Amino acid sequence: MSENGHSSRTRTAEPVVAAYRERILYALALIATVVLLPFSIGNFVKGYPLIGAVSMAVVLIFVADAIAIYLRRRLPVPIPVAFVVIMIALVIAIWGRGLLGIFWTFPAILLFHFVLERRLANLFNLTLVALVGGVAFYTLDADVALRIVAGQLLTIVFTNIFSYVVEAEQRKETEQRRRLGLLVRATNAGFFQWERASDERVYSGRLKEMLGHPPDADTSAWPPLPEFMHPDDRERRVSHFQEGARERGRAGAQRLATGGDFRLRHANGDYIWVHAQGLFIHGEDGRVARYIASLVDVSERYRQQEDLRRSHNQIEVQAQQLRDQNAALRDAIRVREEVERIARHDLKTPLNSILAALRQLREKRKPDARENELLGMVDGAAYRVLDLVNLSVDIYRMEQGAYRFSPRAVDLTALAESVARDVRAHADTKGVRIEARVDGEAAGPERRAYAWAEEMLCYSVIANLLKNAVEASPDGATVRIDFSQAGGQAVLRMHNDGVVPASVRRSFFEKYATYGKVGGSGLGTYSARLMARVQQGELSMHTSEEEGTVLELRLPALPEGAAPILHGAQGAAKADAVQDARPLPELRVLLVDDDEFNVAFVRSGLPSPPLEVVTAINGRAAVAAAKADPPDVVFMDLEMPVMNGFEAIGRIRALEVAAGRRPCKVIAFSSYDDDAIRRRCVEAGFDAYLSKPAPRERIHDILHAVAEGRVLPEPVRPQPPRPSGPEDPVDVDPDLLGALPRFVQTRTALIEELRGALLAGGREAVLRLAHKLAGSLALYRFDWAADESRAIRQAAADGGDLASLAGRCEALRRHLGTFKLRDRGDDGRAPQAAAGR
Amino acid sequence: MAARRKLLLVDDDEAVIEFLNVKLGGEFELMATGSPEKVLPLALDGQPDLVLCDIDLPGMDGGDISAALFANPQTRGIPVVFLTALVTPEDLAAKGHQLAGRAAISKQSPIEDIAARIRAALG
Repeated sequence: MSENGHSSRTRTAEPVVAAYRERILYALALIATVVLLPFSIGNFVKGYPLIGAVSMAVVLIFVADAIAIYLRRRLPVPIPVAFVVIMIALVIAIWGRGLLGIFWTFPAILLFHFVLERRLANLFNLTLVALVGGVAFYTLDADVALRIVAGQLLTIVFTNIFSYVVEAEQRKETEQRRRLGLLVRATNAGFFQWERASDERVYSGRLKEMLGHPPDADTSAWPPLPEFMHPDDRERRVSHFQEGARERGRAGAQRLATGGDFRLRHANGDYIWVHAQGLFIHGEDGRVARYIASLVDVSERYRQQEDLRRSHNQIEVQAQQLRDQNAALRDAIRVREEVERIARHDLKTPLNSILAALRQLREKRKPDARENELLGMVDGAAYRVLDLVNLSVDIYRMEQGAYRFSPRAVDLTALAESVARDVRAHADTKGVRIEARVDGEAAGPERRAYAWAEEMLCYSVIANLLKNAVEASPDGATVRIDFSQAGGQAVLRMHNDGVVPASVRRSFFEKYATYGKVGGSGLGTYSARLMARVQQGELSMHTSEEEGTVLELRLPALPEGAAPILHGAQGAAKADAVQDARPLPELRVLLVDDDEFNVAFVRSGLPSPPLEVVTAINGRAAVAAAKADPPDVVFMDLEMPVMNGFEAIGRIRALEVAAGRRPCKVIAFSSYDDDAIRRRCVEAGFDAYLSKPAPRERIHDILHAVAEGRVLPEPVRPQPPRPSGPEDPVDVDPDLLGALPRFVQTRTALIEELRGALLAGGREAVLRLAHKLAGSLALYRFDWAADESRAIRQAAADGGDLASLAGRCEALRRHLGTFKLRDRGDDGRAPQAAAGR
Repeated sequence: MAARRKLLLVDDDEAVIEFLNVKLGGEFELMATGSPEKVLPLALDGQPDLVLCDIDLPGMDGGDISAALFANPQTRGIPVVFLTALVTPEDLAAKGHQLAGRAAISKQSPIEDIAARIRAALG
């Protein structure tokens, strides 16, 4: 295989003979010596010593140059000198021998043409023709001379035409080689060639370079190419080669071998990736005689692919890490919410015990005024903690946009006074005074400021503002609270002389932003603003070196006619107890609670006799107690270890069913107090719900009602909010969304069937279909449609006119075609796309 | 982990079976049929821990099914719980959560309560 670049660069388009000039001269010199020598000697013999001498000189020159060429030495007689001698010899020969001498001119013309550069050759030849013509004209006759000259000129022309044609072909070939060279350089391919006959392997310079060897490295001792291959690739490549090499083909046919990528060992021990494309060339016997392969270094591509794969893997690993973190985070949030929920519950339980104990103290000791005041303070503080625990639930609801704002008249001045009492000790240590003014005058019993808001939220906001103000205020300064009315709003401005640092002003109200307070949660100002906004108000901050800091709280003012109520009324529990003089009935009471203080408190209000009271520490103990000695009434905590209240009531009800007993009254008794829990209680079979702390009178009321078989007092059965019409969004369980389209389809078909039955008067079919619809629609929470189906069934069962009910089917069908799904995250206010057919 | 307990669901409405499959399939092993006459063979064959049965069924009502199960010594011990749309949860609560002497759940109850009642009946 000829090498790619080197030869095409060095071989230019010069005359084709140029490359062979020395070889031609060498061959001619040998032939001339052999041919001329006898003639030369003959001339001496025949008496032409001069001709013999010059021809001998020519022979000697040829011999000398031939030897020099053979020995690769410089020519002793330069060619032009030799040729001048030849010309002189020819002239002398013609002069002496006439026509015989002329015959020698023809090989001379050819010699000059092939050995000299073209122009010089033509110059020599034309000179030769002129000399020969002249001598012939002089020594022979004019006719002969003319023909000799014409013959010689024609010889010169023919040789020139021949050379021109050969050179044109050569130029074409050179151009093709140049292009091929460019192509080969562009692919940067190396070549490998194998000859079957000689088992010779040829590596091109580029291939050697690719393998880390110099282009002219001696490869005679190199092992076969497969030994350079990576062990993992070798078997595959060799079997491809052997398969291809075994096939037979037409003589001279060329056949592409299977191409592919594999690794070759580099001189430094590494492997390079090459892409190979081979060609089998068949010999005369039809077998593969030669194999030629081009090899391109594709290591870079493989490196990039490897890099890409690695970065893909990294991204996948990072994505997995993110997924894991996300899951862990979700888990943590769930755990945190659970912990918060439990913590709230666990905080409320001992608080309830404190409140209960206070109550007992008051009832038993008849405290004097001072003691009553002290008890009132403890009572108030406990209620505030209880309210704050409840508030923490509300903050979450506010963030979710699920908080229900229930405003009433709130005495802001009273709240400020209450908070001021709480922070007084702290303020005193700094010598900070707190002043409250209403419309510029000192606040007093007659000078109050009210807002249309929620007391607990206002308490929290004011507490936050005042505590911060005292903390930020310089020692000995005054914190001023100014109440006023402006633009239909109640305005509270709290001023202190401290300054909020410039760096935190922008993020003052942001969540988790704290300043200068070690261990601050960064939630205070954030939740204060949240609470102001949820009450349709606003909280803003102004601070400067000159003016100090003002926090301004704006809340809706009281609407026309709203009556202010006194601060401090905390509902029934705090109202003065009205002793029920009636004797308690004789009942068996089962008291179930895992909190011993609570058990002790409730137990203390249940005198025996007349009551027979049994206590149980958890649900399981309660079930056992109920089985052993069925009670008349059970007060059951909901959240208990081992077995909770919901499971316990299920088992107690099951026991009653099994024994065929009348169900006892079971009262849920819990610190949880929200609609969902109440609803769950009712549906789990509880007869009433009491939130802790329950006043003793309420417990006694329940006992009286149980004994008298009266409907139990409120809150007994808070009805869950039911959809009132077909326009209300449907609260489908997310798990069932996949089954929903088919459900709607089959229900629509059932409604059609029902309508047909109504019109046809098939009462049995109507009862069956309406019942089927009612049951399935209720399960999927199509509450309105379920109620409607039940109503149709009831009307049919009561003997109503069936055909007149067909119109209600149409309404049902329309509802299923147009209903909207309740957005569970947003309380239904932003219904999702219609999910009808 | 304890073996999942097995429920036999009886309801002629595929939508109800589908609903119960989705909501209870994770906790219980479920078998289902819409044909009352298949209940006894299925109960004998599969020995469910509980039969959750609609009341108003074509040809044979829940009471018949309950009686058929009770009549066979091999299925007598299997508790039957009615799941019905005939009554509201409030009415059922007033009736001590039973109908025709059997535990009953209203189809209007939230699925959490249905599941809790099944657990309670399983003991």
